[in-house]
Amino acid sequence: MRTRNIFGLALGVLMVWMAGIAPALAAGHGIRFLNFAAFQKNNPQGKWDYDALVLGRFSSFISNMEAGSHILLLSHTADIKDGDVVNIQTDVLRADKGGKLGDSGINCQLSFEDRSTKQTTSFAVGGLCTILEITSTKDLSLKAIIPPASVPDTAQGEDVWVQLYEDPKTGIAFYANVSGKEQ
Amino acid sequence: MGGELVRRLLKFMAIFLAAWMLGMLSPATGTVTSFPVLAMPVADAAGAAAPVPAGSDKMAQITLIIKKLRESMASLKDLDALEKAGMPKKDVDRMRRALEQKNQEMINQAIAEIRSL
Repeated sequence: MRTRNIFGLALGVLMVWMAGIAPALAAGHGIRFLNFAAFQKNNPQGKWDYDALVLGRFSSFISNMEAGSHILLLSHTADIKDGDVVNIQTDVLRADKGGKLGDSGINCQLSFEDRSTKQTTSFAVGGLCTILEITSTKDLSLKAIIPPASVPDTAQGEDVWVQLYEDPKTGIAFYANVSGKEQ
Repeated sequence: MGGELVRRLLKFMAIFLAAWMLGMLSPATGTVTSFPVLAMPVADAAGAAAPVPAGSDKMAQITLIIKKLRESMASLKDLDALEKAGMPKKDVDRMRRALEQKNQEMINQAIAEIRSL
């Protein structure tokens, strides 16, 4: 009898959950992809500054950013689901004349959260990125902590990118959004 | 359970030892530097560099893997900062598991490369 009660309670909780928060795909919103981009200012001490929101799909987004920065990486995942951990590595390992290994680039581990409901989609991204510039003359290893932040779903509106992080010293900034097709 | 833990610990220790030793290698001069026990020149009597050994490519590859492994292991510690930044503990734990799994893959790869030398 007690087991039946527990089972019933669990079923009830599950039904409430299904009616409320459900992953985008389960809620009928279709497949999603996480897009992540990194840029570096051409002159970190210059006047040009990043915008918190930038419009554009992919090429137009990059063009819009080219006014004062250059792209370091652009990543488009093969689908994305709640709880996924995205690992992005674009650092270059290079041996110098002395045989010592240099390492320059960006490594990121991002956590993806799907907070969608049946009515609307909602996604968040947070994580850790390491900006590396280790050469024979430089030794920079910067840890960028990205607190969980909402990212726009371009499948439900404008092609917009949101800035997740900016490092004033190196002039490196990270942008992200979610794209996909509605079912 | 305990045996598995000991086996894993030994595996980690072996990799760290290898990483430490490889970190001291200087491929350009063909000598092992900064490591007192192994500080012996590989150059010939005339002072010319020794012929490039057949396994030098593999050594370079192992050095690369170990460098990445070191960085990746250091990143594990930084994940705690994410929790302070507001990320839920379950998400941080999931990221830690994912990173540990990737590290394990790199360890296995390094071991396979070391064995093939």
